[in-house]
Amino acid sequence: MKKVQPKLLMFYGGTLVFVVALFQVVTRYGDTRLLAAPNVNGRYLSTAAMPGCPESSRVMLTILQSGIYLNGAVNVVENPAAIDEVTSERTPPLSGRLTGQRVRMDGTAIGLCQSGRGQVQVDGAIVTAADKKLTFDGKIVLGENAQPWQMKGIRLVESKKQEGH
Amino acid sequence: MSTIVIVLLQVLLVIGLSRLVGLGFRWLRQPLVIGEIVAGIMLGPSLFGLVAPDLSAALFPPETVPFLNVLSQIGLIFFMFLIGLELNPKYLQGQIQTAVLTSHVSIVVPFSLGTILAVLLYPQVSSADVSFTAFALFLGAAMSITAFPVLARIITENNLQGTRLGALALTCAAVDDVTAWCLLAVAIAVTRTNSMVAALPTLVESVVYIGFMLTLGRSFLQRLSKYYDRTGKLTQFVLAGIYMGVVASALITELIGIHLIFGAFLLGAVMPKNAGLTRELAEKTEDFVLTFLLPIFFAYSGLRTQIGLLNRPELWLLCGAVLAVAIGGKFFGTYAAARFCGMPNREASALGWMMNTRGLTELIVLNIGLSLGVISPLLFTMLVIMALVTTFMTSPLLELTYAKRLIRQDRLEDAGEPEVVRDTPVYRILVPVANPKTQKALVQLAGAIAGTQVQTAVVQPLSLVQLEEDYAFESTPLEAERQKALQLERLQTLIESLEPVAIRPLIQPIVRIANDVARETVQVADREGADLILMGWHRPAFSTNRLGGRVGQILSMAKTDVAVYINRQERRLERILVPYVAGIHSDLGLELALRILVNQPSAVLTVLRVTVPGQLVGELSNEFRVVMKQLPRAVRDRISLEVIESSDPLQAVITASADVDLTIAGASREWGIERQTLGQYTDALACECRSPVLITRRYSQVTSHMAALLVENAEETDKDPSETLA
Repeated sequence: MKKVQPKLLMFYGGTLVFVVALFQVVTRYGDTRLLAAPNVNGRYLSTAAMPGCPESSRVMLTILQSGIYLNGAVNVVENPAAIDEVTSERTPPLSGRLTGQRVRMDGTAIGLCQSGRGQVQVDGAIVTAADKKLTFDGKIVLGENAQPWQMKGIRLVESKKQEGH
Repeated sequence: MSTIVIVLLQVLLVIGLSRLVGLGFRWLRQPLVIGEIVAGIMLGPSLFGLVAPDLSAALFPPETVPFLNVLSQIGLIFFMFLIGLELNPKYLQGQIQTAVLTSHVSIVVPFSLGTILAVLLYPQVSSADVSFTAFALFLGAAMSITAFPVLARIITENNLQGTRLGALALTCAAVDDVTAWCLLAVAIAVTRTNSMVAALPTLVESVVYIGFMLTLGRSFLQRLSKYYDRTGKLTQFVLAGIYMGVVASALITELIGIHLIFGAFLLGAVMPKNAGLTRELAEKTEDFVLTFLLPIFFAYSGLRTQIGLLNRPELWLLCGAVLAVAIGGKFFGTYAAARFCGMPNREASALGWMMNTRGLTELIVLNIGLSLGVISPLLFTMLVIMALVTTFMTSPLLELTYAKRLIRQDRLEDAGEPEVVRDTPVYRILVPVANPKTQKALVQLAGAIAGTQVQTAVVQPLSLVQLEEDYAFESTPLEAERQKALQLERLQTLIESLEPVAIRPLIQPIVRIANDVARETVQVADREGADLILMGWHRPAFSTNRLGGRVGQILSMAKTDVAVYINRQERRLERILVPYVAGIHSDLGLELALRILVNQPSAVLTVLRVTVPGQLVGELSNEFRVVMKQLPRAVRDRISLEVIESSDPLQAVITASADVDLTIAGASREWGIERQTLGQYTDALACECRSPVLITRRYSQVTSHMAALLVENAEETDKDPSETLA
């Protein structure tokens, strides 16, 4: 068997020690100093119907979160009792950012009751309610000059984090 | 529509599109797998969902996605088993010190840079549910991947496995593969428990299981190998047992808390590398896994890749940073370690680009990360782009840094075909041979043309081992080498059967791996400086033209003279007929006939000219007259010039061919053979001729197949040929 050169061993050992030390320093810094965005991922179902929509319907705000970057959708659900467990893999039409607890998104939405395709703005905060459920508390504006609609929504499903595979 | 109907429709679409796009990428000389990954992305929200959202929603409704997930996970388990199966300790032979050091440094540098990049990315694209340690560990692991299977195929396809650099790259990638999977197992354990300390029990259990598999597991499998040797075949009963073992092992690692792919990989890795058992097992498993299940995994992954999420300039900048760290980390890590081990600059750079191949392995890692929630959809998309770019760039950057033809010159001592000495001018005939058992007459004819009397000549039977599938077991370097050795053995048997014995030393076989046989043949002809490509015809699958298909492709691309041989029955070459029409292709035919005449003193040649009734016999071309004039008398005496009057020249030649052993015709419309490609029009002569036919097409007007003979014998000649020809 070929003898291992001491020069190689030293280089090897030095590199490994350096990497382990670097990893320790970086993770210690990251774990103590860096703060990632809170998890706001999920679907929020309004507690009331939107004006112009049937009384039984509800508005569903979907938030697809990647850190502080948000994508989302606003849809009207005719039958809130029959909402699917699974979510679509389509890219949601709204995009925006999360600043602290505050959600801001805009984009287009289709067929929100009487309105056709139009601009939608979402602006609100994600707060933890007394029952530890996450809720969205904010306004939704349809079109340029429309009156904002105050929405209070409760998160339906957890993020898909622990899906397993 | 019921869910099962939709899922079946999805599978149809997925398999069809992945093959189509894969073939497109093969045409671009990229690995098929890149095309399949792109096909998956095309089916997802990045393209299909963007251009036809309603149709996309109808074809890929959310409720069917879990079914695709299950199918893709099963595919992944068996794919990982196949990867483990092909991981042969033989890859770790030679340059092991350099390989282990280079490989590990090529992991730790991108890993370290990845953890530093995590400081930038964590606050922006991760969530507070994920600990920084898990995020950094996962990002570092994702940056460190080198895809052994993809790199192995790139190396095999380019015939680099026998070169010093190719062998080193393979060893590095094999070490990288095992190290990266271990690193990933740690990352998954830490992610699931969200801390290093809490992950310790999982890691200890994993080590115990690996130890169990390496000892008791391997010992049991050795018995299986002996059983296989005794029976000589893999029965369905044994196969069922092995598959149960794969699933059970996957289940155990899943229950331990790493991931099911590790169990499958581990079982494949500890399987005894009994050549017959491994080949049969791989061949029985891979067809369904690679053509059916793996594309579903790509589609499932593509459905989760949303390029639309990169909707801000700063996100593209972050994506650029991910790319820069991944490429730079891998390249400089490999380069520095290779230089430290004493490798020259160019080889170290080439190795750096090769180790950047991430491909499918990266995709597997990313999907695990996304499913565990440790990477967000946005980061997943960035990393998928990185995986595609790094794999796509390997071949062109490698060519730019260190051209493959130069790498091939640096061969390992015991590997590959001999390099041909080029000190003296040599007349070379390249003979593509698909099946050595049936193409003896072709090589025999090449030997007769090359001969020993005219000049130093070499006949190079070229046998190309075609690799159909990127991931098929036959495409692994060791298996490809085995096939090459087998083919070389067949060629040697053919050479030993050639007569006369004197021509055997002229035969220097070349066996190579190729994806595109026609293109590779033309490139080899170019590289070897072949004076003539002599090939047999074969019937194309989708055309009735005998000179179409692969023969037609070589005719279209070749930058040298080509002759196509249509054999009817084996005969001794005693009587040769050249139907002559003034033109460069006929001149080539005549030159080849004269070479045979010179090499074979008993052979006679008839040069036949056909005229339409009432017309004068056309003049012989100047080239013809010059050649005849310079021939030695002994040769000239065996040539007769005949003129026949006929309204149907083709029929006249067919009739004359009944009395000869070989008809050599230049490409010409007169004989029903198209001038440029030989394949567009009728091939009447080829079909109806009563003797074997050799169709010649000249490319270069400068090349002379008789130059040596004419120069040597110029002083002997003194008369006009028409005076002596009968």
